[in-house]
Amino acid sequence: MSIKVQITKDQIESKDETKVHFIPASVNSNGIIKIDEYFNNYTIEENGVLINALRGYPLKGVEINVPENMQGLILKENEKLQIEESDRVLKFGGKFDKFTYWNYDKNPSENDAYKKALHYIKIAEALHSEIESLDE
Amino acid sequence: MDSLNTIKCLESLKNYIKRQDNSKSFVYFSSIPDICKTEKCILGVDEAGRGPVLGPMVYGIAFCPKSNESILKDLGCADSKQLNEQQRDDIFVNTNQKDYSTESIGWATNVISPNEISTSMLRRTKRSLNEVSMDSAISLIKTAIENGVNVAEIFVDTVGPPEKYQAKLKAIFPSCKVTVAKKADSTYPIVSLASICAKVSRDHALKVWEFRENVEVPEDGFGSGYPGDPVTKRFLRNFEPLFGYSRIVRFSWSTASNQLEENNAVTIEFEEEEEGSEKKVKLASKKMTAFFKSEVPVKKFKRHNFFKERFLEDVIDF
Repeated sequence: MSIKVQITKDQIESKDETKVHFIPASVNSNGIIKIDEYFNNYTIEENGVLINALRGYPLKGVEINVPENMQGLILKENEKLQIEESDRVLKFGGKFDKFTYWNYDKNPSENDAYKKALHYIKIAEALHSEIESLDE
Repeated sequence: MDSLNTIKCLESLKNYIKRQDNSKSFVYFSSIPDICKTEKCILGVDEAGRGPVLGPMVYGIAFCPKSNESILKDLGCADSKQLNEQQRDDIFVNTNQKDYSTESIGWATNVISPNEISTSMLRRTKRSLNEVSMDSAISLIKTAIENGVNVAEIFVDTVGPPEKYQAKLKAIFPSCKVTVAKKADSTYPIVSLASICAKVSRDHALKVWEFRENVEVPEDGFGSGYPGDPVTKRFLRNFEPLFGYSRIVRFSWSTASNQLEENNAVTIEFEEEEEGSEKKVKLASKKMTAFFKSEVPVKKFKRHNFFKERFLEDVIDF
């Protein structure tokens, strides 16, 4: 079984940025929500930290740029069309260069799981990039 | 004082509240009569809107010279639960307009937004409504003293057991005589006035509430906010699938969370506070069952700590 990602040149080069939130909770549903009225218009900044709440749970956040030379992508899959053993197709759902990272009642820091996970990008680069001959 | 920032009547009260961010809490202080700085004062504390699932909880204080205590009776301060809305509004307006009152009475309120009530109660280290309440009362009294009010006696209405609360306040305000009592608002007119200021402020905060969520409020409104009120119940049956309610609702009330659950709102699971790595007690000797296992243990692939600490793992299915 392979996974295909379908993205057109127009899509990747489009100027439309999608506003993305990384939230410290799992949501067991997909759908359209009224995020501007219920969430975005309540975000405030206090001492450089973004403050908001989700269902009464206090959130502390920060804007994070996606790592250099990388592109944030949203990929969508039509779950209804999924037949076992068939190839999966992921389609373009939006792109972003920055997103809002939220912690549950904790100031965002370098110790956050997301930030730590990114260390691997550098490690992977060191491990897998081609190196010049070491002979001389 | 800037007239825009002074509450003199119900209209200016409404305008003052409207200018605030209703997701945040705020404190309002009336001007402090000079006589309150020289004469020994009594100070009353009471709250409004502790129980409802909707709207702010308001803490109120009122103070006046002990020698002028009789004007509280003149204003009509009696058991505030016995007064109807009109009477409370009248007393509130008179308190802020009649010369005999403004020359000797001062008051203040702390309007604690429903958003702040929810986020305090749902923090990682939960803060109970009692703690929020006490802190609000203490900070209002402190501010009054800092602004020069010569507080000699403090009277506090409480719903919980008075003894502990009284001891706590005495420790914080050692130079004041402190009385914490149940139903103090019917016994002490100064507490009654504090209660009226709080109640009138809460009622008007609800009247001028602006819904940023574009919630359509039904014709019969949202009710008293008390969980048993059928109008409030009906109001809570409408919600946004993910975010739930507008921020007039206290999410930390079981009435609110139960309604979401019963009516199949999207379930959200927050990451829990790490409870420290579970350490199993190591036994000094081998377990009995160990003898039945094969001697050569199957080596399990262990991920390097670098990956574990960074929450990185292989993903095959997503």
